[in-house]
Amino acid sequence: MIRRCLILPLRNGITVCRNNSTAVAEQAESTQESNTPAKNPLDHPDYFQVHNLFTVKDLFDARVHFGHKEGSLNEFMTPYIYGSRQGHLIFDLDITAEHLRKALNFTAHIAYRGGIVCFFNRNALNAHLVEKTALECGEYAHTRFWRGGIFTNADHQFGAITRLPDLCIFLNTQNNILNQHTAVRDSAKLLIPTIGIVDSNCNPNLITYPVPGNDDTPVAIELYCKLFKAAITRGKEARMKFLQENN
Amino acid sequence: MATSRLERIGTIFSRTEGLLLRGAMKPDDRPLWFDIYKAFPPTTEPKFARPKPENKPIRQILYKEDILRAKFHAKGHGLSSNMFSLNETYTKKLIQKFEQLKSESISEEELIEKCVTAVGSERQTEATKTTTKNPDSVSSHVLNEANLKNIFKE
Repeated sequence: MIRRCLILPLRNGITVCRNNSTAVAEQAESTQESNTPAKNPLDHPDYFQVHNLFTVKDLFDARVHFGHKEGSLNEFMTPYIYGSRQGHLIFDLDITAEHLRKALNFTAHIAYRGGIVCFFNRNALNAHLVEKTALECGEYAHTRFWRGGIFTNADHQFGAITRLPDLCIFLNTQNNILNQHTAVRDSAKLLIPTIGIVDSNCNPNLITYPVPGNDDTPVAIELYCKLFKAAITRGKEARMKFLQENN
Repeated sequence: MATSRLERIGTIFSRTEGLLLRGAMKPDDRPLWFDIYKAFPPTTEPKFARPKPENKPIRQILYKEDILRAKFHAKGHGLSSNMFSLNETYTKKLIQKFEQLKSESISEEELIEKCVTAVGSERQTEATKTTTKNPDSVSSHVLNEANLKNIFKE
């Protein structure tokens, strides 16, 4: 699989590692069938067992349920709200857990297929933590000012054909309290799936896998970082195992 | 790779699927995430243009003891909080005391006053109580002898 990736020329602005092409997939499946009685990871509802990474209690302890005040509520966030305590919105953690598990599963599958993951965060308080997490799991982070066109005009900005990430994880989707991060829009433009922690004042519409929850508190960000790191590590471990068995 | 950059139309999946169906993108060139998305689609389609969710009033989260809390707070008790302390808050102590003393057949006004004095004196003793790690140390001897309550009296 790796050999194939390397041989392929980088033809366009966005090059996609073709290890998921139909031909290779069939080949991989047939070799796997001969070894073990099973399975395409996509047939399994939770192949990487991401459901056991956290419990709703963990979310509660990390203060994921705290939203912003009622006045700043984005209408599209209303289905995820449990209620309001003295003007402060509280998220329904059962819904959050379901969304977060889907997001973690997706992350693990992307890592399994050798995709590039990029973490985003524009909160200076949590920037170092996010960059450290990305470094630890061998992925990328962008926590600084976003120069327009990093995705949409990548070839010119970097002076060479550029491979863009296969998944963008936003630990907060806002630049400041008013504006959405431009990379959310640009990812959608360039067909890059996104995972985003959306607080009660954010717009979840363009995020592929939105996770309603607190995006400000360092404890909460720490939890998200830990979970995404674990999901990526599991995906990569499974990938290494698969490659060793099939080479 | 052919793409449609109109992010407000459809979703990333529907746009990619359209390109694949019409042959603008070869099946081998499909993005890495395409099969994963197909197998595990998100709960709600990530469409930019979607109808607004129905306008339901937000439920207020209230507890039974909020009435009691309000009564204490109205008289100015239990309003302070120490965020560095991991102990129970003043208000919580007041409410616990109230639950203990509830069975006594006195009026609510008196009961509230009684709770305030009881919890207040408890806090006073806690505040003056000093503990040292090593009971044999010189500082613990000095602290034991010192009368901290009357430290400014001659």
